[in-house]
Amino acid sequence: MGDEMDNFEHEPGSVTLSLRLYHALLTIYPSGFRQEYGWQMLQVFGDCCRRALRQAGLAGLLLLWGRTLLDAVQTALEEHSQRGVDMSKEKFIKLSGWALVLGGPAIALGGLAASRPEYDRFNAGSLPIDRYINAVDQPLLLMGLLLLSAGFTGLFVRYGKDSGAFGRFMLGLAAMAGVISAISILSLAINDNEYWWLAFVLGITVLFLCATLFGLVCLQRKVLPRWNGLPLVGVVWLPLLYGMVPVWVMIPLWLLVVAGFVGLGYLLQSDSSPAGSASAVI
Amino acid sequence: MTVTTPIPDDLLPMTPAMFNILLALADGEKHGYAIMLEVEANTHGAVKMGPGTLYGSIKRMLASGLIEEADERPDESLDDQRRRYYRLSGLGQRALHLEAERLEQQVSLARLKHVLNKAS
Repeated sequence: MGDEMDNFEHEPGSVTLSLRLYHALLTIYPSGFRQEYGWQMLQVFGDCCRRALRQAGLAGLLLLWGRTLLDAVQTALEEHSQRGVDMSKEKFIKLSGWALVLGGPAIALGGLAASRPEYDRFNAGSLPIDRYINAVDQPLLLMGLLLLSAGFTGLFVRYGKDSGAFGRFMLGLAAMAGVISAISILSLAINDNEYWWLAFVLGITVLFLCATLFGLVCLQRKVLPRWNGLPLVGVVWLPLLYGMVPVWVMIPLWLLVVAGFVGLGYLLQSDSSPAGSASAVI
Repeated sequence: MTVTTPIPDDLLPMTPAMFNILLALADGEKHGYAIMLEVEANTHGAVKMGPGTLYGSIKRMLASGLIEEADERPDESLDDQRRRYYRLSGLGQRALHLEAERLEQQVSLARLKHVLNKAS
């Protein structure tokens, strides 16, 4: 499909750029789906770009992008969940529940470890154990983010249909933000630059923000079979992320976050019956 | 004697996207973008499908046998050779007919209960 991008070289700059970005965005779909329909989707998106530009200029193109991003996130998750990775939907939901159960503690431990100073024997604030803690914060955060992303994908598959368009979008965005943040941590380990750092902070912020907004949807629509206030435990995340609280407050707050994710994961794995899940969403 | 395949239970009632795509194909085969434009026009802009929704739906409708890919292009000189055209299958036509009947009954019921009168 890459060579076929050359066919769009004669387009206006904004359309060419949009097509290149959409071409990159297609990688979020399963490879089989991409191979079968990627070129068709790119062509249709190109047609839409030209029409939007003709009718409403750059503002129209931006509006189209907003709609297309939402569409891509939702349908990519649907395609991935339908592919099933040789496992039944029920089994996938159950496993993603356990991913949340493990992801909560991993992200909390990683967050706590990251809040410790670099070990320096001349600094009274750092302890000898910090040299070991400093070594595990990034792997813990990476593992936690990937597990939480898997967990949110499971929530999307199980409760996406009941959550409405906004709730579904929040779940999808949380899963994607977790993956973006995890990729940024890996990239930081290879090349320590401010853009990867920014992507990491932005990713994790969006993940927790989406979890919080999904919590509001749960309260309003009673999406979960019980404990609908559980995802809202995410509201305690903000001061933790930016180190705005002293350690003695940080630990109980992280424990709350852990309790929220562990509870949500336990609920998900125990409610993995496919009845009512987001099957065949067309 | 003609034997018609029964419509599988899980295809009815249809989702709005599925119904709109079948309706767009009711008067002839179309490619993806033409389907998208027709759905938008038929619903006065209320349903705007993105490429993901469109081709995700097409994939599932092909798998369930409601639509099929057309072998021939309507006019090869006017169009990109690589565009794929889709058309209703026999099963798709019957499913569309049944769904339209079901919706008609719903509308009749709404009229009977003066729901439409109240809204207007």
